[in-house]
Amino acid sequence: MRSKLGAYYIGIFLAAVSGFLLLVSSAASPDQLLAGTWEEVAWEYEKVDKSRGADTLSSKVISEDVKQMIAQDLIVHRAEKWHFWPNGTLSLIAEGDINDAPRKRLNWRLKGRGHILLLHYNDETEESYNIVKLTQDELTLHFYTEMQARGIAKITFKRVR
Amino acid sequence: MLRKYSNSRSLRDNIQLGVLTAFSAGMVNVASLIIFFAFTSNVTGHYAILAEEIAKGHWYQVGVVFAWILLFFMGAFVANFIIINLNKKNAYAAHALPLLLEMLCLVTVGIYGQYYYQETLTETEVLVGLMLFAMGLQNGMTASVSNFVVKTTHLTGLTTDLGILFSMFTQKEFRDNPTLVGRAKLLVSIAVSYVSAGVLSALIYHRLQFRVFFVVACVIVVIICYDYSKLRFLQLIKRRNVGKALEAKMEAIHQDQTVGQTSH
Repeated sequence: MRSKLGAYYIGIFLAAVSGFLLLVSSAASPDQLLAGTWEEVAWEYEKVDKSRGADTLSSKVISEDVKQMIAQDLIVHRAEKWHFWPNGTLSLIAEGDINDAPRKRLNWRLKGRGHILLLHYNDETEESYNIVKLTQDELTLHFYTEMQARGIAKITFKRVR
Repeated sequence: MLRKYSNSRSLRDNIQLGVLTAFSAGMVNVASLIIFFAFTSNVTGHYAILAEEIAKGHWYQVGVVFAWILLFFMGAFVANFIIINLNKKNAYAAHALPLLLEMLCLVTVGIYGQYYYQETLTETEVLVGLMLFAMGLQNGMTASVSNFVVKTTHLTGLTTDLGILFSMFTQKEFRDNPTLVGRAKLLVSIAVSYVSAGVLSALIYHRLQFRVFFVVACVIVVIICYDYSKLRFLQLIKRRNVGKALEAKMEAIHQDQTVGQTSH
């Protein structure tokens, strides 16, 4: 009876471990998915002034000026393309950079269950972004800002192949 | 604190155990949140995240969060398994062993984090898992030892119980009930200890980095040593009392023999 019970316990444990291995091996991990080149598609924000019009998605799209104001204190200021290298380096490439030479190089790390993107610049500045969506083709980041875009600002990327 | 089991425990025993273990849980949870952006002393949030990731079809994340929950479960399982199997042979060892294992896990996190951590996602996931296992061990041990009265790694149930108790205290008959008052004292002590440890952890993290886990390990050493020293002290007193009783008995026998020889 005791050995039968032991066999049940071991069986359940092995099933749980197998389930875990099956799950993690069946899908790409977030760091594998993130590696590659991503191009900014849109900067949007969560809240808008009521006087500015209807709360539609189009009204949430941040203009280039506002984007620059929000981003002026961010590491990612004026970047258009983000290239995540598998070794943890991030190259920021701006529009007009010759031969896509990176304007800035920083380090990227994923934290939590791969839902937090940490960017380090010169070992001094650190920024964290929430990864809201990460697929083969699309990446969406959220970050908090106190600028005109009150609440959460959202950057959407598409993968450059 | 660790020697007494279940219903033989006093309120003082439970408060001592609750305060110290809540202190270590609070420190671990805040440190892991700062370093890894993940909670490690409770799994309620992880269950919600598991459901969310299943709904989104993020199977890798489902696997990771499932493993974290499983490790917390395994911690509680191992702690209670040790207690129920060793308790009759050596109650102190049965209760101290889960804490030793917890300390081993946290010291491993501290050493690895301080000297080898490259900040890869896999390392983060494994270290978070190890801390969840450690917290499962601690929660399983405290709950098992105290007959489910003390739980120190998460405060949802505690806050609910406090809400109920304080609403009961609006009536005099409950205010005069020493059991309920004692329970409220225990829960408030645990909550205060947990929050204070969290604040301390956040304050000292920037100076100590991963060495903050060594501080937590020291708190666990205090729990283990306090009881061990008390045990040795009690044994010493017992031995002295037995020695004195034997001396008195020998003296009495000797006197009896002397009286017998004189009368003959």
